[in-house]
Amino acid sequence: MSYIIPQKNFILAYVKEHLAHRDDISDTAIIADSIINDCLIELVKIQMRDIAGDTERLWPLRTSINILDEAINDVGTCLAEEKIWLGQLMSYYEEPICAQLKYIAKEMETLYEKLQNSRQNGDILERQFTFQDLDCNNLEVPFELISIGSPDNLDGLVVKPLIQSEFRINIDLVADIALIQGQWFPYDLIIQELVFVIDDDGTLFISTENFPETLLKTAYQTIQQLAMSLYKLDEQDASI
Amino acid sequence: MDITLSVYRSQVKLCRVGKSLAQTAASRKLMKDLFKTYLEQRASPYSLIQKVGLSSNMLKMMVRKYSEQLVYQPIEEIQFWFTYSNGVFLEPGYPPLYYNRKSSQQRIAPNTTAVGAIGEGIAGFLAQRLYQARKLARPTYDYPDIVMAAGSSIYLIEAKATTNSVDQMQQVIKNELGRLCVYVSGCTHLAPQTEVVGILMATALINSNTYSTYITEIQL
Repeated sequence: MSYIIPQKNFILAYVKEHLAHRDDISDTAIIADSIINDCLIELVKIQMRDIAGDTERLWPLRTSINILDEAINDVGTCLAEEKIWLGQLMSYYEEPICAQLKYIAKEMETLYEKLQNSRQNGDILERQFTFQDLDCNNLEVPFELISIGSPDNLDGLVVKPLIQSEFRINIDLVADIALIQGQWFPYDLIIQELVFVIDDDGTLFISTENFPETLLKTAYQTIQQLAMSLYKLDEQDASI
Repeated sequence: MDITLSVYRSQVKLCRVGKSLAQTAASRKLMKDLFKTYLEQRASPYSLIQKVGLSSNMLKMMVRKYSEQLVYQPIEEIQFWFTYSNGVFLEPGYPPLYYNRKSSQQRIAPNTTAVGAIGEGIAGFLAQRLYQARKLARPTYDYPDIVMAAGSSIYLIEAKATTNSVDQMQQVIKNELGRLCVYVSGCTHLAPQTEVVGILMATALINSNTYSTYITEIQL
């Protein structure tokens, strides 16, 4: 059985652990630590993408959105919530983070506008979400089913868990319906002719290029069944 | 289609002399050449540690996760390349394409973005499977390619790939190893409580369904 945490939580936990085990906690030493730098930049990048991909967030179509500033503030809040004290260093990090990410931020802002237009014109596939079932006899983790590709040409299916805290994956639970290959993530889960991949953040994936319609329907149903079988909360987490 | 991936591993442990050479190699060609010789002598021979059957589904997912460039159907690109380079285009039904020019500089080459993407995907896949590491960061157009963590260890991973011969791949490894050693040495000094391991993963795409990856582990 494996405990899965979302990618952001994993990075935050690592930063906290990494700082806790340092002998030299002087500002100079921490600033020069490239691992901390890489983690902070990655957190801001992930947050920018979350902001840009949030379908429920209403943005004015202006370039003054400044996704980068918003993401840096959000990451600062996350660090504080996790009691990761970088103190005044956070203001130091802003300059290198901005230098690394400002052009990417502009690209995301441009693409965001195009994404909104694509959705309005029906050029891309609709996103689908499951709903959390809080029945304590049937606990499950909510997830999103994403169809990759255009409406005429589906490249793949991805399932992403939506939970923001730890949950369990027990690969052995599907051993009676799937051939499992691999000793660690990513695992291949082979069900008849369909090959699914499950990764260390709980993401499920299958390539559906050139699938006939009947096989596509089977893949669609099977990936959801796999998600419902694999993603489990501990019963004490039912309050989430 | 399954790809057979043969994985070879070598290890380099830098002693005090090696660390000193790593630092001076960054500034002076003589020291860089000495460091290269030192590494060749210190590295253990590559030995086969595993043969893995890699599903195309798995490789596609790993390329999506770890590649830093936009590439559509990289596996199919490489298959197409090997169809041409294996002479199949001389057969009926294939386009009559010829690329040699009078100038030796005009050479056909495979899609380098696709080759690089596959190399990065395989590097991430092997880091997860072999070291049970998880991605911490994917520096954007920076160094190294991937930063991963497993327990208290940090893995700094640099990925290379080529459709050229294994001998030419060995040359790529020799050229790249010094730079990674210098970086690992610097990171180790700044985070002495953390075990920092440099991993150079060089993948030779032998043909459309046979790859070999040479892993060089660098530890101080």
